[in-house]
This record gives sequence, C-alpha cells and structure tokens, in this order.
Amino acid sequence: MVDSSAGISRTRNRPRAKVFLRIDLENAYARLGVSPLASAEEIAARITELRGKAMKVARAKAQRTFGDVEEEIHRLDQIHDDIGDENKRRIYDEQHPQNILLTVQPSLAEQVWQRHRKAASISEWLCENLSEDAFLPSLRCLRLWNPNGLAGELLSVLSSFTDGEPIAAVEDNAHPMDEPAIPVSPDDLERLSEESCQCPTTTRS
Amino acid sequence: MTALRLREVDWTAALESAQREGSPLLANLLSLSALYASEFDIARSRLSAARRADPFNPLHEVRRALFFARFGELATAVAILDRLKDLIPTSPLIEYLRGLLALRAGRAEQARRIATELEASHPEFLYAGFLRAEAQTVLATKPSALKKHLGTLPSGPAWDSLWADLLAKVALLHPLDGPALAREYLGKKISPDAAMHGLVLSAIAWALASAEELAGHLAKEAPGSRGESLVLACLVERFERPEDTEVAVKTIVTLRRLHPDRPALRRLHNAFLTRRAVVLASQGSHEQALRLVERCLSEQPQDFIHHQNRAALFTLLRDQGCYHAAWAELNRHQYRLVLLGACDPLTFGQIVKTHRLFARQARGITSAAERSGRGVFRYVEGNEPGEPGWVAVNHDEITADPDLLRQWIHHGRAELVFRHYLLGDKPYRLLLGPGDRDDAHERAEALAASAESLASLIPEEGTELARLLAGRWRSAAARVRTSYAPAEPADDLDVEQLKRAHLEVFADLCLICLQWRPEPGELYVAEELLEFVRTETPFFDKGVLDRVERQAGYEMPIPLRVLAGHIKRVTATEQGRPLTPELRAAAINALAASLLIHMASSAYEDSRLGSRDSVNRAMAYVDRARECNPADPEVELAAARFLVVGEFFEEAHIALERFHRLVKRDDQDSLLAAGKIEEILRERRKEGETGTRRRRDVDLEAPDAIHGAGISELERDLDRSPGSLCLYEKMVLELAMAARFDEAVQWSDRAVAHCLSRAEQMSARALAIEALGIKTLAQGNPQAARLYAVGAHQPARKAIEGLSEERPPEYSLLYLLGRCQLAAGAPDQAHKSFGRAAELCTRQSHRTVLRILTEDIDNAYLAVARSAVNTALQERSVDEAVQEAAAVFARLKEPTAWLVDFARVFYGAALASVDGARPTAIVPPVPIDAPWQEHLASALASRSDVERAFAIATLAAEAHPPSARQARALADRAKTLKRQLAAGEALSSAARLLRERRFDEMLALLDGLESAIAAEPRLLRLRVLALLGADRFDAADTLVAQAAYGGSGSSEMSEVNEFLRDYPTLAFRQRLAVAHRLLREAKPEEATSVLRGASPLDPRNAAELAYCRAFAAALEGYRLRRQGRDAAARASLLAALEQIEPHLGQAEKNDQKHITELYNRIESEVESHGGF
Repeated sequence: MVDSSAGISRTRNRPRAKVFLRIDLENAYARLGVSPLASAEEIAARITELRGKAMKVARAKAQRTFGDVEEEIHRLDQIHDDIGDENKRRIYDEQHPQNILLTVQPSLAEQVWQRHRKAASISEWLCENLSEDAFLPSLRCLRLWNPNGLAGELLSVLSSFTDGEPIAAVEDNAHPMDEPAIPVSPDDLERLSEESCQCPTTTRS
Repeated sequence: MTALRLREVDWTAALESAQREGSPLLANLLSLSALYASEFDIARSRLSAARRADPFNPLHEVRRALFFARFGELATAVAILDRLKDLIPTSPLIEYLRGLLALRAGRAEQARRIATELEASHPEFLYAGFLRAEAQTVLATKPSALKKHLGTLPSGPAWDSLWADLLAKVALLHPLDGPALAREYLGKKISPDAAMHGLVLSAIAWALASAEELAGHLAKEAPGSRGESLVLACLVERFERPEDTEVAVKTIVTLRRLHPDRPALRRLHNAFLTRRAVVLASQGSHEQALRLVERCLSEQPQDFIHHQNRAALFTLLRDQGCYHAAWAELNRHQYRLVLLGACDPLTFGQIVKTHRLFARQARGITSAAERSGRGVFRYVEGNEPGEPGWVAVNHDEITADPDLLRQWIHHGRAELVFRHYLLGDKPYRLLLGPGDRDDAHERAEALAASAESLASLIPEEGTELARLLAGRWRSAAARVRTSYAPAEPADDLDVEQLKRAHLEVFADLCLICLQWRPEPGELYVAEELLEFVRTETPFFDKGVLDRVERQAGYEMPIPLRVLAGHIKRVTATEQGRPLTPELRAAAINALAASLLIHMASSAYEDSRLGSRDSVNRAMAYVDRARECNPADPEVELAAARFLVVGEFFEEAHIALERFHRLVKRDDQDSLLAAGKIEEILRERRKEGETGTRRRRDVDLEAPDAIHGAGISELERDLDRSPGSLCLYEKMVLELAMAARFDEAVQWSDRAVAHCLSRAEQMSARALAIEALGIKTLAQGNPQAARLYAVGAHQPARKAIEGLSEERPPEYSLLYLLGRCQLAAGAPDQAHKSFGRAAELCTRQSHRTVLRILTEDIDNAYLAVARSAVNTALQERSVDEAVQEAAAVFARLKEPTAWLVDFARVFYGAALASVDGARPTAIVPPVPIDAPWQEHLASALASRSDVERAFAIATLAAEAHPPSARQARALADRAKTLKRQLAAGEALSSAARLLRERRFDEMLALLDGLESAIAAEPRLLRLRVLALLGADRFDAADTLVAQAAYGGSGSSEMSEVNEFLRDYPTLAFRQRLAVAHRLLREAKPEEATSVLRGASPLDPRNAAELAYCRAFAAALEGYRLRRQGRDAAARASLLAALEQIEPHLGQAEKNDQKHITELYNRIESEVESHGGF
C-alpha cells in the first residue's frame, strides 16, 4: 500500500468549498408541509388528514378527477414510506441530515418543561425539602438506595464521622516591610522595669 | 428511618477507616457513599470497588442503576436492572425501578404497564400503586380521570410523602383542574401538621398563580433550587401560546433585572428568544432570527443548539464567508463537549450528522434521482435514449474548487471515525470483526490516522480529540483475541451498516483513483486522497461487496459496480470467491498506482519548472507507483515516457525491459506506444546522445514546504479573524514565497470581500493588484517573484523592466514596478509607473486604487517610508532609523507631512533607551528648505530623544493641520514618557534608600519631586513605606486614606490597590513591632502612644495588642512600685490585667502562652503585694 512517509505530508486546514450546502425543497417534510421537528403523531395526523381530504374530493367528483386523487394518494404513500414510522423516519433522516440540521430549533432548555421531566423535578423538589428518610420516587431517595433500611451497625459507624476536622490555620504572607519583631517576653518585665527606673530596687517583704 | 443526616457524614474518612480496619461493612459503605460523592468519577469508582468487594450482593447493582439514572445514563441503568431481573425475577423492587426509569425517560405508558403488572403480581407492594398513579398523571389530559387511581391508594403517616409527591404533580401538571383535585385529597390524605402539607399547598398556590404572583413566589425560592425551577416552569405555562412570546420576553427581562443572580432566568429568557427565532426563521426573516440566536449564543455559549441554529441561518442566508465559520464553530463546540467528557450517543450522533451533511453534499450524487448536484461526482446520461447513465468524477467542479473534494475526504473520514465510536466499547464490534490481533492493530492504526482529519477540520480541539480517540482504538485492538469463530452475532445491524458505509466510501475512492487526473495545483489534494485510500484499506471487505451484489431486488450503485469490475480485472476472481491477502493488496495497490501515475503526469505538466525538473518530479511519483504496484506494465510504460523526455536514456531502456516482461502480448496499444519510445531511443543513440542520470533526491514539496506551516497557521488565524487585513497581507506574501501564486490571488480576492471599511477596502484592492502582479511576474521570472515576496525588490524591479522591453507590460506589473521604486526611495519614478498602470487598467475596482496613488504619491511613499523606519526601529537600529527618516524629507513634495513621523522616530528612540542601555540618537543633517526649518533645528538640538520627540511633534501640530491630531497625541505621549522616565529614576533611587532603611533621606527625595510625578501610584506606595519605616504612623494613615479616597479604578493602580488592601495588616504589624522595640527600650509611654492608633484585624492580633498594652502598663506599674508609689503601681497593674482578661480564652485557644504567662505574673505580683 502507499507509504505516506514517502509522499507529501502537508497540513491543510478545514476545506471551504465554494459550493453552498444544497437546501432540498422537495424533502418529505416539505412535501407534507410539516416541520422536520414535528412529532410522529403530528406527521401521522397530517398524512391522515390529507388522505381524508383527497378521498373526500374523489367521492364528491367521482370518476372525473380520480387521476388527480390517485396521484395525491400515491404522493402521500411515498411520504409515508419515507417518514411514516419511527424506523423509516430514522433512516430517512440519516440519509438526509440537512432537513433537521438546517431547521432552526428551540433551545434545549425547553426539554425541562416536558411533563415527565417536570414530574421528576417535583420529586427532586420534595427530596430537597423533606427529611432524608422520606420515601419519594426520586433517584436520590435514601429509601431506594437502602431498600432494607440502614443497619444499626452501619449507623453507629457513620455516627463517628459526622463532625468535621478542624481547619488548619493559614499563615499570612510576610510583607517586605514586616520585619519579624523580637517580642518582649514576660521574663523581660523585671529587667526592663529596673532599667526604666534609675532608683534602686525596693523590695517589699 | 434514621435521625442521622447522612449528608453530613465525612464519607472519605469513614471509608478510609473501614479500609484500614478491614471492616465487613466496607462494600456497603462504598456503594452508599456514591449517593453523596461530589464527583461522578469518584462515585463510579466507589461503586465498582463495592462490586469487587461484595460481588454477589444485588444491593450494589441497584445502587449502580440508581446512580447512572441520576446522571442521565438511563440506558446503562436499564441494562443493569434488566440483568438483575434475570437474576432475581421475583423482586418487586427491580420492577418498580424499571417502571420508575421508564417514567423518567418519558415512556409513561410503559411505566404504567409495569406498575399495573406489579400490582397484580405483588399486591402487598403498595408503592406500585403510586407509580401507576404518577404515570397516569403524566399521561392524562384531564385530571378528573385520575380520581379512580387515587381512590385505591393507601393513606397514613407512612404514605404522606408519596401522597405529597402525587398531589403536587396533580396540581402542577394540570394547572387548570389539578389544584382543586389536589386540595380535595390533601385534606383527606395528609395530616395538616405534616411538613409535606405545606409543600403541597405551595405547589397548589404556584399552579393557580398569575404571572405577577409567580414573580413574587420566585423571590422566596433560592437561586438554583428545584423550587425556583418549578415556579419558572409554571411561568412558562402562562405564555404557552405563540402570540404570548413577546409578553413573555418582556416579563422575563423585568424579572432578570430584579434577580440578576438567577441563571435560571437567563436560560428562560434565551429559550423564549429562541422560540421567537424559530418563528422568524419559519417566516423567512433569517436576519432577525440570526440576531436573536447570536444574542442567545453570547449568553449561553455552552448550548450547542444555538451554534447549530447560527450555522443553519448563515446557510439559509447564503453568506459564503460566515457560513463556513459558523459550521466550524459548531464542530469545535461539539469536539469540546466530547473532550470534556460528553461521550454519550446523542452527542456523537449529532457530530456524525454534521459531518455526514458536508460529506454527502460534497459527494454530489446521493441517489439516482439527484443528477444535477454540483459535487465530486456527476451523472452522465446514456448515449442513446433509454440507455442507462453513468457516474463519473466531476473534473470541472474539482478543478474550479479543489476544496470540494477535500470536504468529501475530511468530513467523510470524520463521519466514519465517529460512527466507529458509536459502536461502543467491545473491541471486536468497534473494529468491525477483525480476523486476528494483527488485523485489529492495522484497523486501529487506520482509524487513528483517519482521526487526523478532525485536526484538519478543527485544528486545536480536533488534534486533541484525534489523540484521545487513537488511544481508544489502540487499547481496543490490544484487547482483541484471535478466534476461529466470530465473537459477535453475524446479524449485528449496526456493524453491518458501518461495514457497508466503508465499502461505499472505498468504491467512491476506487472511482476517483481510476478517473481523476489532478491538475498541478491539486496534487496536495491527491495526496490527501491517497491517505484516505490507505486508511480505508484495512476495512475493505470483499465479503460485504459479495453480499451487496447478491442482495435481491437491489440495484448496485455505479461506484460499487466499478469497484467490483476493478477487482475482477486485477485479480481475475469471480463474484463470491474470497480474495487471498496478496490479491486483495494487489487490487488496492493498483488503485493507488493509477492515481500516482495521474499525479506524475500532472507534476510534469506543471509549467513552473523547467523540463528536466518536471521529469524529476514526475518520476518521483512514478517511483511511488512502482512501489505500490511493481507488476504493472502501465507504470513502466509511463516511466519510460518520462525518462525519454528527461534524456535519462539508460533508465528508459531498463523501464522498457520491465514493461516487456510484464505486458500481456494481446495489449496492442501499450506495445505500440512502447515501440514508439524505443524508436526515439534508437534515433538518439544514432545521434550519439548518451543522456544523463536522474537525481534521486527530488523534494516533492519544494519550494512551498518551507512555508507550509506558516500558511497553515495564517489560515487558522484567518478562520478566527476573517476581517483582518494584515493577516491577508501576510498570507499573500507567504503564498508567493511558496510559489503558490494562484492561491495568493485567491486570498487577496477574499481580502477584498471581507475588509470592508473604506481604508481597508482600498488596501485590500491594492493587495489584489500586487498579488496579480506577482503572479504575472512569476510567469516570466519565478525567482524574482518569490524574492519580491521575501522583500527583496531590486531583482523584481530589474525583471519587470526587462519584461517591459520584451512586451507591453500589464498594469499589475507596472504597479509592482511602482512598489519597487517606492521601496527604493524613488517616488517620482513610482508616480510615473502608477500613472501608466492606471491608463492600462481595465478593472474599475483596481483603477480606483491606481488613480488615488497617482493623485497623491506622497501618501503612498509615506506609508513605505514609515514601514522602513519602523522595521529599522524594531531591529533596534535607532541611528539607522533616524538616518533613514531624515532622508525622507527631501523626497517629498510636501515634507511637512513627514514631521509627525520624524517625531515618532525619536519617540521610538526614547522608548528604546528606557533601560539606559543606549545613548541619545545621532542626528544627521536634514536637507530641507521650509519655513519651519529653524524650529526643526532647535528641536533637534534638545538634549534627549524624548524632548526632541516632544518638540518636533509640537512643531508638526502647528505646521501640518492634517496631522495635527496625531501630532498632539504624540506630544502628549512624549510628555507622559518624560514624566514616567523621571518617575522611574525617582523610583529606583527611593527603592535603594528603602532597602538601606534611610527613611528620612527617602522622604526628602520624594518631597523634592514635581507634584505630578510624586502622585505616581508606585511612588505614593514608597512614601507610605518610608513613613511607616520612620514611625510616622499617623502621616502614613492619612496618606493611605487620601489614596483610597482618590479612587483607584485604573489597571495601572492594581499594584497600589493591592498594597492599600494589605495596608491595615502591614500598619498594625509595624506598630506592634515598633511597640515591642520601644518596650525593649523601656519606653512604655511611647509604646502606648504608638499603639493608640492600632486596630487589629482578628482575635489573635487583638490578643497581641492587648499583650503589648498590658506589658506597657505592667512596666509602668513595676517602675512605680520601685519608686514606692504603691497605689499608682497597683492601679497600673490592675489596668494591665484588665487589658488581657477579655483575651485570655482566645490566647489559650491559639496557644499564645506568653499572654497567659504575663497575666499570671501580674496577677501574682498584685496578690503577693496585696498590701501595697
């Protein structure tokens, strides 16, 4: 095989092709008239709605416009084949990533307001506000972590580790001007008082 | 359950103790501590340790599942629970947790089903009923349907918390009818005294509150709490309708003003702005949507969706420059997320999608229906109607835009790399079932090499990520064991899909290798393509190709048919028959050899080089092709052709001999071509020409390899700053130095497109003319063109003059000539050249630049002269710069314009002499005839450079109004510099005196300075230190107070600010030190006086202060006692005791023994002399 060391090893940067990304206006979502972010239910409902309309037209105008209706139903069938169910849609989106990537999407923060996430938040809120032994459907609930309860032996072991260690004192940084002073000691008291006083010591008995 | 608050346990200490003592509780402690661990990794390692210590206890597995679910890895948690369910099928807890996880994952129906089954199978397990009710609450559209679910649930104190949970959910998830229902059940089911009663009432109040009331509720919740999150969720519900978005944004903005400390409000605000952007984008208002997205991005750069939205909007806006940068930014963000540990399938899936988008778009044809796409491949219609079409390499498109092919290469490789990662941890799977360990290593190395494309796409983060991934592949390869049977099921769909993706890419590569004839300027792309072939080789699996061929009802894509045909032709192996390793290598190497021969032709055609050099370059590729495929007669024939052209006759003979040994006898075309070459060789021999020998040391990269790194660096810089003109200027010169003249022209055109201010636009256009000129010059004299780019103008000037004699010059060449003349200090000649260029120029945008140059040659020359002088200054040859600057006056029509630049030269000289290492600049005579001549002479006579700069700048401000503003600014700067130089000198002297502790002299020095200089912050600091050193504490305090009051916002004051912050501590210590000294000198009154202004900052210092004061009082007491003044002595000693008493406890705690000792001594003194 080709030995790369024999060739030119040039470092190049990100390619910047002059050709723009193509925007496919004929994709299945555009043909159906829904957003690529629409849910499976919305897509199914839209296909059903359009199919119903087509059938209604067919019934009303009988044979005269049957060709158009047939064409419309065929078109809807094609769309259904592309994005009609979860699996087909996944494959279609893999093949055509531009539909989703080129759609402006809501913030990820919106996910927090989905019902099931909100339900989880409520349990967590109660978990924050109630004592540790309250049973709640929360992933942090101590009762779920200890379904059989905490053994007395374990509790007695843990009880001895509830007090914090003393925090070590931090010494101040020495300042260039802050020369270490030689402090006066209580032992100096007598001597200094003697020096400060010119008169002889008067000891009381 | 327990009164112990486990959140307060020191888990690390508990675990260490249990480990030390070999406690049987260790495993339990380890896994339980994961609930309280501050970091994910620590918790995970503790859980793993617990499993190892107690492997048969399912409790640790339950905790692992809860732990992973808590951190969002629901799939892992479910997998653990599924395994547990197999082991303990009768446990209701496992089922309950499975249901709970389904509910948290948004699969409420599944959760309800699990709960219902659990109620049936374990009626005694009453928690299941609450789970079912919660699932129903999530699913229900109306809460009235919930009544039948709530009625069956147990009640009592043991169930209060679960009832509270359920009722809060009923109220908050169904804000219309839910609160009433929740209130109804609250009274019945939860005791009013219970803590949860109040919480449910809060939830009901939130559910019923208006937006304004919710703002009030928000104020009561702590920032970042779940309560805050729920209140905001309620607020969002008030603005669900699309038409409410505007009101919502206004409300949230008001709330943000009220609560600037709440990040949740920022997120909420951005979410609504993004909603608005979605609506605007759907209405086609992309610019407005982009503005909102940019705003969100600036506030929440961590949210990848804003990056993606931005890239999408730039694409929709068709903004060529920004759209590439926006997609690159998205990739960079994605890579950063992975580097930070976001290795989940969702993130990788997003990355795969982005790369696939670009790879597929660059490829062009993605389906038979899509025939008109502009890509690497094109669809060729059949010759006859009804005849099937064909897919071919799109030469025109690649030539017009080589980056299109590179886009396909690098994004394609990146997509494959990330798809491998998505296959998981199992080595056999992620390496697509390698045959043995060697095979695995080969694939791992290929993947590691492919990952280098990430570095091409995103230089810094891509490099790091490539390194990370390479380590992963290699470690996976090391874990592969040789096996006779496949280690994974054959029907693994994901693996099969990736194998097929590799096959499709390889088929595309096959088509390109066989068809593409790269242009000389595209050889680097061809090298990248060869590298792609090399890294895809280990994944080529003939078995997959056979399976695709056999697939019923499937029309094989054309590239796959081409690949199948190529393999059959080279190896003569039928469909369905496996390839031996040798045949497989031959088939693949033949592809590479084919492309290398095309590259050889291209290198030969490169007109930049002379004939023999071209042959040498071409033969270097042919030699590589020979290495790839030594048995290919076509390669030898090509070699013979090149060797004859290069007059390497001997080698040509040898190549022909090889050709004849390899060629099939029925290949008439090749034999005919070889015959012609032999004919030429015979004729040459008759003419007596023996030819020459080939050089073997041809450097394929010459001459541009030297500059490659710099160009890459500049490309990266320009990615970040696409509007930077100076980067474009550098880029154009670098490319010209590397003899990549076409690219230089392209980059100069980009400068014109991106640099849009008027001045920059003119400069960019001038750059474009210059690039064109260099390119034109290179066609006649490549060496001169490269030298021009290096900065040597003389050869270019001569070459252009020579070319002008041969043929009528082009305007770009004349422009280049003008630039050379300007550089040589001949603006008059340059003026003529630019004038001629303007006459010849037909491009309007270029003519504007040339006309401006012609109208004002002085301006152009000033720029050149400025640049030359600056260069001289940068190289610290100040005298040379001054000489050069002095000479400029005589060459200008309006020499006054140069005055400000002349002043700048002296300013630069003054800056260069700041360290005192250089004497004042030598000033040459300035030949000039102007009214301000005498002024200039007197300015030049000043004794220092800074004074000259000041004087000349002042003169410029008066004499040349257009540059008056610059001149005044320069004069101000010179004045400031002068002051700074004086301050620097004073600082240096004062610091020396401080070191020598000559405080009085230091204060005298500082007092003697000008007030403006003395106010310099660092001098103020020194003055304070001097005052402290001289024991003038009050003066120091006053000065510090003034300095603090005077404001210190500027950055230059930061050092002083720090000093001011530390001053109280420093002053206190200094006072204490002086007091100790005075006490040692037996001067208690003076010590007391010094301590009067001391203010301690902490209890320890307060105790020390009390000690000093007490010591002074005691000393006084002792002295009085000695003097026989017993009453006064006693009063002093008691005062001393009073000083210490409040601090005794602190002193004992802090181990300040001298304080307690002094107290005891004074006390005993008082007691022993009770009578005095």
